[in-house]
Amino acid sequence: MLKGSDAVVPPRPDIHPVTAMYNREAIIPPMCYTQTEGQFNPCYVCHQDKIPGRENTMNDADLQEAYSFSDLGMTNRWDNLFVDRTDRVNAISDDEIKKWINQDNYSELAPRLREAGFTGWIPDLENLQEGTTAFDSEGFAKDGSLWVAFSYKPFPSTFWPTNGSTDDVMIRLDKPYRTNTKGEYSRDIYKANLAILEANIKGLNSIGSLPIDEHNVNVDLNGDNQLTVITEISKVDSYVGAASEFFIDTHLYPEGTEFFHTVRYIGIDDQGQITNARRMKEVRYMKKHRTYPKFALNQYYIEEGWEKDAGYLPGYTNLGQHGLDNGMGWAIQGFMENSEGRLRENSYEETFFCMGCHSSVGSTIDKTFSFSRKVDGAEGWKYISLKGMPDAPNMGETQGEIATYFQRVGGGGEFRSNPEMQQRWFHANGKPNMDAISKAKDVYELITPSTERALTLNKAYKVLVEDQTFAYGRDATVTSPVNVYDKVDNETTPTLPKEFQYSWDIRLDWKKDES
Amino acid sequence: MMKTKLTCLAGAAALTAAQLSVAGTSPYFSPLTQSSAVATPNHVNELNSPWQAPAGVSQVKLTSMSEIEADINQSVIRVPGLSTGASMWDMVAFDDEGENIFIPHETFVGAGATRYNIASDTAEVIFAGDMGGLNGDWSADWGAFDPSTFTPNGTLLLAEEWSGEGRVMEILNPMDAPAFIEYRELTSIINVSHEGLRFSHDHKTLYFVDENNSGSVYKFVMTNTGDYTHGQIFVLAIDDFAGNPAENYNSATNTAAVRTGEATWIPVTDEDGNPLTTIDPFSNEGGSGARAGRLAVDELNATPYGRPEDMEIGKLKNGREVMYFAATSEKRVYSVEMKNGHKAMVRIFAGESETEKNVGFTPTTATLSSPDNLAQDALGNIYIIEDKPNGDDIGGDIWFARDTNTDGVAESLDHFLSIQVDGAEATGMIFNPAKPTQFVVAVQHPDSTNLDNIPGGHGDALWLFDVSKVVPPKCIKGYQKNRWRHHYKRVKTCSSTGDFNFINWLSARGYR
Repeated sequence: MLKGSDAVVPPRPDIHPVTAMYNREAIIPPMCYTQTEGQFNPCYVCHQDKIPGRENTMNDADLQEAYSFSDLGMTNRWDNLFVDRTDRVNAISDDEIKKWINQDNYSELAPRLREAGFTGWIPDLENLQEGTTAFDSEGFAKDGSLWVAFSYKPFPSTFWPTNGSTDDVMIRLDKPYRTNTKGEYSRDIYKANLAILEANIKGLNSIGSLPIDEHNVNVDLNGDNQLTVITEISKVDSYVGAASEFFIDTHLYPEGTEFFHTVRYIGIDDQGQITNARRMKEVRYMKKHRTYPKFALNQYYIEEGWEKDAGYLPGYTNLGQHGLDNGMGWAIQGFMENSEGRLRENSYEETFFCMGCHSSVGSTIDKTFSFSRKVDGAEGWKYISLKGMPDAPNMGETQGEIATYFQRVGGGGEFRSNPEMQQRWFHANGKPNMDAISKAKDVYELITPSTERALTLNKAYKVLVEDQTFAYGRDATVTSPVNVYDKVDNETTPTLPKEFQYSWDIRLDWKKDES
Repeated sequence: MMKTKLTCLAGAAALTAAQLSVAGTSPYFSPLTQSSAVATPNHVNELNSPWQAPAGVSQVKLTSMSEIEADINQSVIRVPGLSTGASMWDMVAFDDEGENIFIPHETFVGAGATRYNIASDTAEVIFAGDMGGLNGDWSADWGAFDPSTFTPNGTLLLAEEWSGEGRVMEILNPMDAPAFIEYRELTSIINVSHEGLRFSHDHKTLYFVDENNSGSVYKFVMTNTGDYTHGQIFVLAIDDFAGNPAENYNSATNTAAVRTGEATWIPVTDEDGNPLTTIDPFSNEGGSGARAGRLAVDELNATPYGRPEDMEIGKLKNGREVMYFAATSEKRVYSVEMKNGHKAMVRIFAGESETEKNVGFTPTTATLSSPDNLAQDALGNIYIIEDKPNGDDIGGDIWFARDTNTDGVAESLDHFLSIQVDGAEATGMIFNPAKPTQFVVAVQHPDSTNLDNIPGGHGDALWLFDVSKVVPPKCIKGYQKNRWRHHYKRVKTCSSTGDFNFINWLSARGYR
């Protein structure tokens, strides 16, 4: 049905969407079937117990030890992992794939959706396909849409360009967080609230900010008893402007917060540098329609556990063209390429895939990944840039996050199937080459692929696009990864001993790198 | 517009189930053979017949969110931004005359109650919180009113389950105009995650439960019958329970522990209501995950069950009072026979693993999943209402628990109804105390309650059923092989061919 449709809103089977699903456990992503072999642990970046003060009480660190899937989940249904695409990849020339990834498949999406009478969110950020040039020097969208780009450290492995994709994320706060009490837009108020939010998501008492004229906010945000232009905020216990009386708590986004996330091919510029390609694989969107206090979220986690204990398969409230409701206040929707590379609305199952990571893993902060990993303060308010970004350690640690990941995982990705990373950062005996890693200039050098690898991964994904079989997986693999199970057996599959399980904080200690 | 309401047994005597229920019956309907497939929001099934039902069981819509909100003279609770959970109609209560239905709202903040009058077909909010709970201020807000119970005093009890502070509220004049409604917190009842609330037949005892995987079963014995403000609280403890009361029912310690058999009601307070525990069970500070009452009774070796939910009070054939309570996580319903003094006998009344289904009839493929609410008809039959996962494409079921010898152990679970509304669960099934062939059931949190997604959505709704014209089941005589015990037993599906129906049974039990 998907392969034969050019519609931006593809037809859906006239049955309950769950009935039409191939994989009712689509919330278990492919990497959860990695072979840990009793020592390699890529699981720790998702599965963690509660950190005091956080809203996330999933408490799923035990999933580092064992797979603990439902009976249905014991079989790896990401069949695309096991397909050899060598011949089809080889049939695509370098020029062809370069041309493909440089095409703009984004600009037509919004008008097509409007024409189709689409009722969900319609992308509203002009020229986003161009990446950084769509934003001004403070990360604000030039089109006045009030989306703000921020630079963050990509989540380990999955969003490293070397493993298949580049991406970017933008945030937009609701109107009261952008306006004064008269309802008038104020960029200073908006910048202040973005900074206050950043501090609260990260659980910090103060935070650097873009230049803010306190006169326009009418609050002494840095506590110096005067209203000046500031770049540091220490008063982070309430929002300002029209939202000054609104609910605020640490590690929670306010109601109306939106995230705009594009997943892209691996771009290659004229100088051979890896960039975000113009062509998008996916356009993802989240909106917080209700801020639940921590006690309510805790109850939802408890109920999620009850349902899992009872042996029920996961289920979410269907919002139609608004996507799926994760039950924790967020609505999630998305768009993917059709067989011709034109962006179209996700199928139900393709959105269902998003729900596990954005509802039921223990490491996230308010169900999100990127914002808590934003480069602190003013420096992080810009379109994502890996160049010059240090390998900051996670909070509570001293060694860089990527270096640590290499050590714990034993490879440059969940499946330890990235030969280029293995060659660059590991010794022949499989141990990380800490000397080489320490000499890397920045995150860019650590996690971007060679031009050759980038082209190959792009070709592999294009083959997936042509097939429209995303229900079987969306990983850009050419051949089947070696270290992945097609079935898990709780009786015989090795578990991870305690010494290979780790407590981990998704946040990054950018200050530690400065010292 | 007034709707035509099916009625039967005109002038039926308003005898309560408690007065007459002495024995269960065989099923008076032909059981279903499978659960229903769920349709899309606002599907014709949702609008006209939300449940798959046996032949002759009628269902008529009483009211719905869309109907109420389209009428400026009516009102219902809708908490902004809560998507399908904006109204959450839960365990409704009839007044004694069967003329008004009280709808508790299980919203996480701003919870309250709506009164629906059947004759005028109008609904109005009589009580609601101020949403202060969003900021942690519960002084004038309430969360997740799951149960409502009309009391022998003519007042209405509402109680907080997973949200709020685990309080029980009493609406003192529930029939009055909303502006004059008076209420009070019953601080005589300890703070737990309330669900089932039912009075004993003599009205001296109020039974309640704590919905948690380490939740227990309680009773409040009034100092003076009818005074809900003073009394003594007890918690149920199985005499041979050797597990850890603080842990979940299925923890490694408790999984093998005995949780049926002889039991004792252990005092939680003295006769004046003073706590006998170190932890104050009346504290409102416990929070949603750690209600103070739950923590306190861990000191008393209270037996933990897997999410005790709704309950019903009936009478066994031996004349003793019995409490039935659903243990959702265990996929079971327990019966608790009240013995002399503060002793009791706990049995498994029905369970997915323990009770055969549709015995004597065509089998059903359905399973007993998450038994949640309970209902009781005038004959003493117990109905079990499921809370299956609501994102599924298969609807939850309602089961008739066949206990013809009324010994507190059902012989069969007979498949009665199956919901086919997207995203919804059935809640609040309750029989009309004045018209015993009628019962109501609510459709809770269907996808159509979310107006952002489904403009003009039907929403939470209340449906009236009538079984007076049910097509009696075809009698099956003979023997059936018991698939677990591997022996043959006599099949009892009805008394005699042709004369079996609900009306006849009622007449035989004294209803006119």
